[in-house]
Amino acid sequence: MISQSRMPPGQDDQPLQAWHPLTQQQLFRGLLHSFSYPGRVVRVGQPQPLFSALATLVDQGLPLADPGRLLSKLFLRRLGCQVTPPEEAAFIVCEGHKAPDFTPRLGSLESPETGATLLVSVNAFTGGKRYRLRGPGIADTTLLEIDGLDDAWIKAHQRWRSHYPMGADMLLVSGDSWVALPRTLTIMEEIR
Amino acid sequence: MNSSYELPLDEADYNFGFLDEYAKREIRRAILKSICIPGYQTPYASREMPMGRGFGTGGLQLTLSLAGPDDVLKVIDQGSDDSVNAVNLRQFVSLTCPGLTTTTHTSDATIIQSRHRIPEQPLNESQVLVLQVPYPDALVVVEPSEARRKAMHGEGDYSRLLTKLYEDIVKFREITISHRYPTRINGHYVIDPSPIPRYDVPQLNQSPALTLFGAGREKKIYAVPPYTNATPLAFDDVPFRTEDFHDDRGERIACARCGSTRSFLDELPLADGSKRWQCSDTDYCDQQLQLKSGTLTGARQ
Repeated sequence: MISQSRMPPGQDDQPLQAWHPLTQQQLFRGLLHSFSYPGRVVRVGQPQPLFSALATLVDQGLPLADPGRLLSKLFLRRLGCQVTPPEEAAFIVCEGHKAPDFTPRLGSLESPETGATLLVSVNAFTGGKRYRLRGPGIADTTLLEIDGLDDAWIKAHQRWRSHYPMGADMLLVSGDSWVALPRTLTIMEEIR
Repeated sequence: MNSSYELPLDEADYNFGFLDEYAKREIRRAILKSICIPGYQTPYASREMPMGRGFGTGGLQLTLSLAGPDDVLKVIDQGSDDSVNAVNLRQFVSLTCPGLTTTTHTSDATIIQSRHRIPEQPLNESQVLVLQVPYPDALVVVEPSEARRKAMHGEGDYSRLLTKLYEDIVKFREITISHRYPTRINGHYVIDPSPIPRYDVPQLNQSPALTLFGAGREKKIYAVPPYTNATPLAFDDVPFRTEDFHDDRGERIACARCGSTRSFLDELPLADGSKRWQCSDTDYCDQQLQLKSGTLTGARQ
């Protein structure tokens, strides 16, 4: 049984509006902007960015993993997806404060697009550790502050991309915004 | 398309953007993965569109998955807003996306769908360029098997393509690829940048705008993200060069209409056998004319 306190509020009240074609279009453009310009904090403009992102990207036939049991049965039913272990999933919902205890799908050399997308909830994009990001979508380098993300995530992200083009892509979610960390990024912790 | 033609909205109740939401979601997932793996040809289930494959259905599906009622769309074909392909696609998108506005001005557009050209005017971060692609794979000239091409792409093995370019130089003293020039993205994948002229290839390099490529018939989507290296394949001693618009006396040919000497020119044969050169980008040409007339009226006052 899932304790109510650990369940992020709002997913069952997530208005069905998130599945409206025009809302999905706006949400997708937000995601497109985030993945095009990694490391930028993009405000979502819809309540509950994690659920909004899932509603925009996931539908039936796609395996989704929810190892931390963050999603309610009703929300999963609305998504219509299959629930699988994280090793087999195309989308994985994770909590940032817990280190990853799995290796996601990284794709193959011929088909790297089968690498998973991880949606990771963190506390905030201010305070916390500072990371310097470099890669496509960033003119030179950029700084990103993440509060509530276990160190192991960044190490794992970098380890997963060591056989590029294989790798996994991450979308960090907090409050009303999200930040994309595609597999192309080199991420280094910046000591203050 | 017949200008009086209308979609039978009353009977059919088409979804916003014509495609159903499952189709859009699948295309959107493919777009995001193609941004995460710059230059990789992400497969997707290209939908039947109410026009033949080869008329820009790949670009159209991208545009329809991106567009919303707040967007401003520009569609060009060979640089022109007024050619048949551009007019039809623009009309189709505005019929199926109520609220969306269209423009011919590059600077006003949020989505630019293009066939065979990148606009002269540099794009900015609020714009997305969608290119229609007939043949997405640059390796198709050296390897017929797609399974083997996928392995070659994954390994970044472009030796046979480079050999082809080398053989061109040996035979013709020039790389004979005039358009669809193979271009390496972010140091890994080599893409076919769609049939844009060589002149446009440097515009992909470190562009502030996202560029998406859609091949409807070949069912592939790929991307050059913003601020990403796009390097045309070349050799140390034979550098990449673009189209040369200099005449026999070594002077840069100017557009016969606006007089610009900084644009990509189309060669127009005239009835008397002579030639005339004119900007291929009609919006750019019009802007130059307006600038000129603006300064002229200013001088008169």
